[in-house]
Amino acid sequence: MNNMTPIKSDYLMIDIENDSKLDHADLCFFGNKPFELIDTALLSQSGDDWNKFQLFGVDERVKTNETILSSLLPGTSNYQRQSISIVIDELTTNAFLHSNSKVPLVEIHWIYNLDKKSITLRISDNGGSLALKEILNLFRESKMPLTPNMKIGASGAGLGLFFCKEFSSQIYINVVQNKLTEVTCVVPYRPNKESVLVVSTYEKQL
Amino acid sequence: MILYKNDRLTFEVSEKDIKIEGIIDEYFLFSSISFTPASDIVLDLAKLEKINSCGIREFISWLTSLPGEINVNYINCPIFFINQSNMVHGIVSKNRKIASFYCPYFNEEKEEEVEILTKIEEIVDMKAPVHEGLTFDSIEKKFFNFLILQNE
Repeated sequence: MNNMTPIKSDYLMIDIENDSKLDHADLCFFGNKPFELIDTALLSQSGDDWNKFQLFGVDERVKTNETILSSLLPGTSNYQRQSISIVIDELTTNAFLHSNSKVPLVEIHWIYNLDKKSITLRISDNGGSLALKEILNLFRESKMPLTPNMKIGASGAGLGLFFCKEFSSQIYINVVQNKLTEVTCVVPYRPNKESVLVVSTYEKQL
Repeated sequence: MILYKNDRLTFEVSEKDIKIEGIIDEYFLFSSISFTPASDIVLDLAKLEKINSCGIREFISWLTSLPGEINVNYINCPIFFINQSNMVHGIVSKNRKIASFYCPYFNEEKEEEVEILTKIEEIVDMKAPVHEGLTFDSIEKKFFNFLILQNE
């Protein structure tokens, strides 16, 4: 993947406290500029330390979810457990729903961050169907309308990803069209009351 | 009487309410529920473990299928349900109201979370009830936004 050239990247900073009043004027875009919050939790861990799971079917997510929850430290808050469960559920379902690979393969990586409380979850699939513009439009919303019933194999409006915004303090999305979608969420120990949620998206092509 | 049951979810009707226990996800099929309430219903969500984005659609479809004059009252709502009610149109409305719910607090001294069952009457001016030694652990105007939604 080293020979791929990034074609777009965007950082979106959302004011959590005033989320319900979001409109375009409230959003801050940083284009390709470095953003100081980006690397706080994620870049300080060795890749070898991550806990890893591979899923070959959407039904496997239930057992994997339970396995991950059961391996969390005893002091993990109930809020964090529920947030992790929701994020895993939504992102793995999304990965299988929208993967345009003939043989979908979903991977979950997770790790405690250096504070030993917040957790980074990374869910990736070998599809790559998310588009940067759609993601940013989705995160601009403060409330989602309902779409018609969604079942496995159908398309949705991004409600699952939208939920992840609520239960994460930082989200990073990398997309290589038709090859890879990788969503990384930092799930805090306590409800996110900080003034910003950072969403970073990065889209590459071969 | 069991109104609905799958591997991970049960709707059970008692004299006072309908208790929902387990996980509402894409395996919940509202169309398999044959139930027409004669009067307003109370949904007890104390044992609801999770509701995902697919399940929410199905759940709201079920609510929408109920006769228009039926009011729905939710009681014992978990914190995640409140968060999701604030995010998705249709969970709460004029005739679908949250009556009691868990509020998130934090005990800074013991460094532990505390969930306190709260009635909507206790929320005044979108402020959480004060409990000694505890800090409300969310953003009030965001967490209590459902109160506005269900009175619109």
